[in-house]
Amino acid sequence: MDNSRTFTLDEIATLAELPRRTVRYYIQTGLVDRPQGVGKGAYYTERHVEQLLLVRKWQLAGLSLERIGEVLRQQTSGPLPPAPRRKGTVEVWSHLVVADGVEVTLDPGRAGLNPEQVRAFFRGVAEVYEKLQNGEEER
Amino acid sequence: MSSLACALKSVQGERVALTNVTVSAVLQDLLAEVTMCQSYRNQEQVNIEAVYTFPLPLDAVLLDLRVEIGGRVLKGVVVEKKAAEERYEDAIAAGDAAVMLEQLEPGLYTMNVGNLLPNEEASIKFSYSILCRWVGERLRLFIPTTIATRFGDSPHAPHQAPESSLAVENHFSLRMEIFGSLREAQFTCPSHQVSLTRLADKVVVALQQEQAAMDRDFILNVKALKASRSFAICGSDGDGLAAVASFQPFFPGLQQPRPLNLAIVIDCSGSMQGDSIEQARKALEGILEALQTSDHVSLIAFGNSTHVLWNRLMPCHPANREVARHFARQLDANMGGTEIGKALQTAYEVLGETKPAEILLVTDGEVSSWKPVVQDAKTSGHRIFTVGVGNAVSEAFVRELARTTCGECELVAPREDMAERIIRHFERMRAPRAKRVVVHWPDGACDFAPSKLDAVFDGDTVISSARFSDTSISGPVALSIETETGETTRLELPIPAAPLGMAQEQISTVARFAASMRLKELDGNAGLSVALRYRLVSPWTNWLVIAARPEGSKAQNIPVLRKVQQTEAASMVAPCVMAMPPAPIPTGRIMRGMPLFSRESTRASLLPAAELSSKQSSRASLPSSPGALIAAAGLLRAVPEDEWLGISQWAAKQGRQDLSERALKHWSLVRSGPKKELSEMQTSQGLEILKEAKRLGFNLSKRILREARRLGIDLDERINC
Repeated sequence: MDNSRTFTLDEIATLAELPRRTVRYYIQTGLVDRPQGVGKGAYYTERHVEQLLLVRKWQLAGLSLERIGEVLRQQTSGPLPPAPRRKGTVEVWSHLVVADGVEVTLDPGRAGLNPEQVRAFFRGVAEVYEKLQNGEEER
Repeated sequence: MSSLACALKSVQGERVALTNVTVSAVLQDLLAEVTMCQSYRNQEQVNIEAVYTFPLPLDAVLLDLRVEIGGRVLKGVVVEKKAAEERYEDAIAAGDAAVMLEQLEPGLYTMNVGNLLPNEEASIKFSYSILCRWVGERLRLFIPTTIATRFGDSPHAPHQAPESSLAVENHFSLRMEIFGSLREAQFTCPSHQVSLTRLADKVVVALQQEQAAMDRDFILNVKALKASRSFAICGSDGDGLAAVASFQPFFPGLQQPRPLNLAIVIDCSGSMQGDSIEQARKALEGILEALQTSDHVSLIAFGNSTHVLWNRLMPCHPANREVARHFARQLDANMGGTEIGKALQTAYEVLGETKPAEILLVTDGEVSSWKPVVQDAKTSGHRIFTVGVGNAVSEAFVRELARTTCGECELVAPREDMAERIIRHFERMRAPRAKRVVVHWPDGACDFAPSKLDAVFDGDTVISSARFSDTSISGPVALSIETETGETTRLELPIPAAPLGMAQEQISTVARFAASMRLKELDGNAGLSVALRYRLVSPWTNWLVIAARPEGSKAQNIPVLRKVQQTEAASMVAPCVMAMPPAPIPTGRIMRGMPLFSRESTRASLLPAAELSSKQSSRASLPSSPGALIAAAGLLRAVPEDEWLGISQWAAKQGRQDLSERALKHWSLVRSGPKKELSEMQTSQGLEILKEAKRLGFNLSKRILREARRLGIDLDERINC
């Protein structure tokens, strides 16, 4: 394809087999760059088409749009930063009750702990707590 | 105003585009007409598009839409959906303003307010009409204000999917005028503090404060001993007429209440936290109270998983009832997600071939994809009676579930009387079933809706509509009910003449109301043509307003998207449960909060594991010993999902498409379930992706390197192909 070719929003939507609203949404959320030029002079290039196809590829692989945005913005080599936590969202946390009044709060997903590790961790904490309690009694 | 404007700044820093919502309602006898005005204002330096998904009552019929923008008032038109979307997009692309109102699913709508210029305001006024239904001597006016966080992926487009936030506080004001037969009634508002003024011709109910947060449904309960409870209305419909009739039949119950076969299903998911679970406990108390020795029951609690008390129905003698009480006392909103479909499946299994059998479901209904659940329920053949609890119940789901299974639904807000509603449900369940329910319209009637009436309960309301090709109606409309015990009840209503003074061939509100009832049973082209003729928003039509701007004042860029978030339902923020001493929580128990954001989980299955292994088998080599394999599996367990994404993205940038694809596929594989064990082949493939990435210069996270050292895995070892 000719690299200098330009497209309208309609055309790139057709090329990527996506509704216009969806393409516009990707642009609005920063997954795809805004067009060159303004107003009636706005146009899109090959690069925009590539970006659209890339988003589609990631989406088919099962990524959420939010995560795709983070992946695309990732510039450096190395591990992805954990998904940033949006203020005002409600999260799932496990509360491990050690004793009345003592609680350990964790999100095993974020912490990267598997169930065995969570149990091991909890056993450890419980042991420490018990030791403390027993120490009190001995004294 | 300035302090208010500051408060409206969202946590992300941008100004919330929805500045105000006012609700004014008129209740004339049983017909409520509610007018909502949403005010939007662009308080930013760039042009914006505000998108707001909001709830309306399930049976609301949208009548009109007006937009005031730039000093102009524009009337909305109903347009075929695809065409409306195209025209909206064209307007946005051209830099004009456009407003589009679409229905996402029953009870859920999205307002798209495109291209507001900096400092521009738009006020969007729409009204809907709803017929109140009597239940015994009470009726309930229900105005939802927010959409609570729902479990699972939203089936809607990303710009439409509702999002709620603890940090957003949208506000509304409300004023309601009550005319006609209900003026003498007794009013209670369990949801808000309201003032009530009785005037000569009307009663005025208004919020005590000027504004209230949109964090709970508004509910007005009306109790009237003496009121005309059955009525018919009529209006012109083009060259004919349309009529709607509302009956409240009373028919004799059984001398001896029928024993029940009942599966009680209780939602214990995270969204039930606070008020809702407290209500569920109360409901259970009431249920156990209402059960009799001759009944057979089982109890099912669900969240992510389903917990069954008895695998088959058990007689409800005192000892079993005590066991059930004990089970009920243990319940808490700690079972995670809302896997309601699985729970109902379990209920169907428990009920087995027992007929007749009922299900009594207590839930807040916060499920994104509820339609398949309703479909499954329909084929099960059991009646489902639902109790919708919480501050922001998903009315559409709990009502549709009951309706399609010939059960009934009761919505109960946190401060409403639960016991009374439970008793009501038990009366319905024990009552003789209506075998034949027919509405006899006079000659010349056609297009009846609903086409078939299945469930009628003593003292509940039945609404029916019809169309007449003639302009005169010859005689009354009648409802006849034959119960399974052979008794028949007949209720007759005169149809009043259509109000005069209306131009012939005009389509009246009554006609649009009747058409909206018909629409529920129509599909495709038939639905579209009815929706267009009667100007109704539907799965095939949207409301649309285009406000063209003069040349020179058009927006120049694609507008910045400003999704209006929902105010998180009150019970999720600060439950107002009765003060009780905190119960000591047993040691070692895990309490789960809400598992909300599982958006990615369902899509991961797009890449089947089988395909993965067949394509890559040539590349992978199995670790030499079982020990090495176990170590490799251990290491892979320590790799966070995101690491694979990171590798994939990085490899793509390095031009290593093959590695990128493999890492992405591996991510899909591990994403499909944390508990899933990898096969030997998959394990070695995963290990090789790590090795290859490291060799090419990818910085693996420290945790992985540490874990590899601990397990004795040499990640720098050459790959032996």
